Amino acid sequence: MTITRITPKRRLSLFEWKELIQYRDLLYYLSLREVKLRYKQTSLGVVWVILQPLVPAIIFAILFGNFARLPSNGQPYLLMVFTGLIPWTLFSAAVGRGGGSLVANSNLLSKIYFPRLIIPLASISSVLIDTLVSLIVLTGLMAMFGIAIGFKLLAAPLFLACALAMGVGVTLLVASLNVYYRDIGFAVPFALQLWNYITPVIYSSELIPSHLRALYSLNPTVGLVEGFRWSVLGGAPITPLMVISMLVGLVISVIAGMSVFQKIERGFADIV
Amino acid sequence: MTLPEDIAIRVLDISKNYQIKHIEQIEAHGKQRARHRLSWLGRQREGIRQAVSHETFWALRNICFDVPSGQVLGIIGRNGAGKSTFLKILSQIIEPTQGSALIRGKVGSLLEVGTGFHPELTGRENIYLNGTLLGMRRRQISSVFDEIMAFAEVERFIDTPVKRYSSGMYVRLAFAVAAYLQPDVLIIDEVLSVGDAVFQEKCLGRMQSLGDAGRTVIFVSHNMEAVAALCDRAIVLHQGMVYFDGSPQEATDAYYSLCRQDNSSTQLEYRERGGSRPEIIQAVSSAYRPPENGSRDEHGILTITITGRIEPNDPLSNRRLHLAIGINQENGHRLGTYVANDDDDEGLRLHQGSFSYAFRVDDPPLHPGTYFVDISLLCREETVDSLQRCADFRIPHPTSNHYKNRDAAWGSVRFTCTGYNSTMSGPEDA
Repeated sequence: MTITRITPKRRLSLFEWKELIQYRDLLYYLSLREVKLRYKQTSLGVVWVILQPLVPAIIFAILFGNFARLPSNGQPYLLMVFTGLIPWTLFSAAVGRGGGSLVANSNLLSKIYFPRLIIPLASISSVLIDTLVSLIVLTGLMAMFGIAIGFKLLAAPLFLACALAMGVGVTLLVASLNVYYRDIGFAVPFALQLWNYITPVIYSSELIPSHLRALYSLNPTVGLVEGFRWSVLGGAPITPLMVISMLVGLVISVIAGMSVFQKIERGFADIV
Repeated sequence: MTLPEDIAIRVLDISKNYQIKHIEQIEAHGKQRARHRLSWLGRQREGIRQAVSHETFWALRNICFDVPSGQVLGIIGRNGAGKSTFLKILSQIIEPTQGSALIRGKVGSLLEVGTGFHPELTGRENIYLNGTLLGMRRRQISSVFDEIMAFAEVERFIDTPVKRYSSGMYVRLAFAVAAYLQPDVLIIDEVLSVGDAVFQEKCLGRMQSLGDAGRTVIFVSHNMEAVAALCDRAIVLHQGMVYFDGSPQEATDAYYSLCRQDNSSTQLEYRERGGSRPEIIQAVSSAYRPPENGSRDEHGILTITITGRIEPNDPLSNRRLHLAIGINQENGHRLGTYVANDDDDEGLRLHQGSFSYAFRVDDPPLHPGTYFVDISLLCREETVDSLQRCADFRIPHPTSNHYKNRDAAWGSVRFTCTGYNSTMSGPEDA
C-alpha cells in the first residue's frame, strides 16, 4: 500500500506527473462539465461554436477587405482573418477562461484534495473543442475558395500545439497570481484586447511599416498566427525572427507558469 | 520515517499557524505628513495613518498520535478548536506549518456534503464527476454505480439535473459517492448534521460497516451520542491541542466539562430570550452529580439554580410569580416541564433585591445524554422573562455496562418499575 507523506512545503520538487495521470479521468469529467455547461439550455448549441469565430471574421472581411482594402497576402480577406483567428483564439480563450478558473473553483480547492493543475487544464481543454470545430469550418471555407494545400500543412499542428502550450503557460501564471491578486481578473481582458491589436489577426503583418517589422516580430504571438497562416494558406510574410521569438516566448511562459503555479499551489486553500 | 505495519495514520508534532492582520488607525501629526499618507483609491483618509501589525495565531499546536488500522476515531471539540483545520491537513488540502503525518493507503475525505456537485448536471454526471474528484477511476465508479444509486434512493431521477432534486436527495447522493469510495482511510467532517434521522442512521450504519471491514475512519462530530456509539476511541481538541485522548465515553465527559469550564467565565448564555421584562433572570446553572462509585443505593442528583434580581419599587415584587423549568433533549425536543409552586396559591413571592432558587431532583428518570434547560418566569397569563437553552447538564454513562449498547431509539425517559405481578403457566396436564 502506498504511504502518503504530509510535510511542510519542500523548497524544490519535481512535478508530480504520476499523480496527474492517476487523476486523468477527473480531467475528462471536468472538461466535459465545462463544455456541457457552456452550451446547456442553448437551443443552437454547437452552432454557437461555429458562429463565434465566423461572424467576426465576416465583419472584419467586409470592413477591412472590402471597404478599407487592406492587404491580405493575396488571399481572400475572410479566409485570412479566419485562419488567423484559430491560433489566436486558442491562445487567448485559454488564458481568458483558464485565468479565473482557480478562483471560480475555490470551493473545490478548499474542500477536496486533487492535483490542482487539473482545474486550469480542464478549462483550457474546453477551448480545444472550439478549435476543432473551427478547423472543420476552415476546411469548408478552403474548399469554397478553392485553396490548394501543400506539404506545409504538416506544420500547422505544430503551430497550434505552440499556441496551446503558450496558452497553458500564461494561464497558469495568470490563474495562480489571480488567487492572490484579484486585480489580475480585471486586467486580463484589457491585456488580451491590446495583445490582439499587436498580433496580425484581423490584418496581415504586411501592413506594418518595414522599419518597425523587426520590433513587431518580437511579440511571440505574431509567429503563432503568421506561422499557422503560412502553413495553411501559404504566402504569409513569416520571418525567422517571428519563429524564434515565438519559441522563446513559449519556453519562457511555460517555465514561468509552471514554476509560479507550483510554488504557490499548496497555499491556495489557505488563500482563496 | 517509517510506519509500522499495524498503524494507519501517524501524526507527528503537527502545528499550523496563520498570520492575522491588525489594522490600527493612528492620528498623524501635522498636515504635511498627513498629506503624504493620502493614498490612491482613498483607502486612507487625511490625517489618519494606519499601522498594520501581524499576530501569529496557532490553529493547531503539536498534535501527536497514532491511529491503528481499522480503528474508528472520533474527534470532538468546541467550535474553533482546530478540528476542521486538522482534517484539512490530513486530507492534504492545506499544509502544516511544522511537523508531519504519514497515512497508509488511499485517503478519502468528505469535508462537506456535495462539494463539486453542479446543479445543472444530472445525477449520473455528478456521480462520475464527484467520484473522480475523490480520486476514483471511471471503472471503479461504474462498478459501484448501482449501489450508490440505491443508497441514495434516486434511481428514478438519475438523469435529471440535480437542481431539481429535493435537498434530501441531494445530500444522500453526495454522501453515497463518498461512502462507496472504499478508501483505506476515510476522513469525515461534521456532515451528518444534514439530512433526516433515517438518513443519519443509514450513514452511521455505512460508517460502522467500513470500520468493521478494517477501514480506518476519522470522524468529526458534535453529536456525542454518535461518537459514543460509533467510535473505538475519541480525541478532544481544545485551542489547537490534544486535550484528551481515550475512550469515547470519557472523551465526551471531558468535552462537556470543558464546555462548562468555558461557560462559567461568561455571563448568562441562551439561544433566545423573550417576555415582557427580559432582564429579571441573571444566571441559570444546572448540574448533575452522578451516584458515588461503589455505593449502590446512592442516586444521582440534578440541581438547577436560578438567580435574578428585582429592583426596589418594582411592581413585580408584590405579585405572585411562577417559575417553569423545561427540560429538552439535545435535538431541542421538550421532554417535560416542571412548574414551581404550580398548585400553591401563594406562588413565589419575589421580594426586591436578589433572589436565588435551587431546585433539586433526586434520581432524574433520564437516560445518559445531554439535556438543555429552558426557564420561564410567569405571572398569571403573562410571561415575564423567558430563556431558551440557557443551561445544560449531562447524564454520563454509568461505569457499569448496562447502557453500552443503548441507542437513540430507546428515547430519553427512563421508566422505573416499582413492582410487577407475574403469572406463569406451564404446559397443562391433560
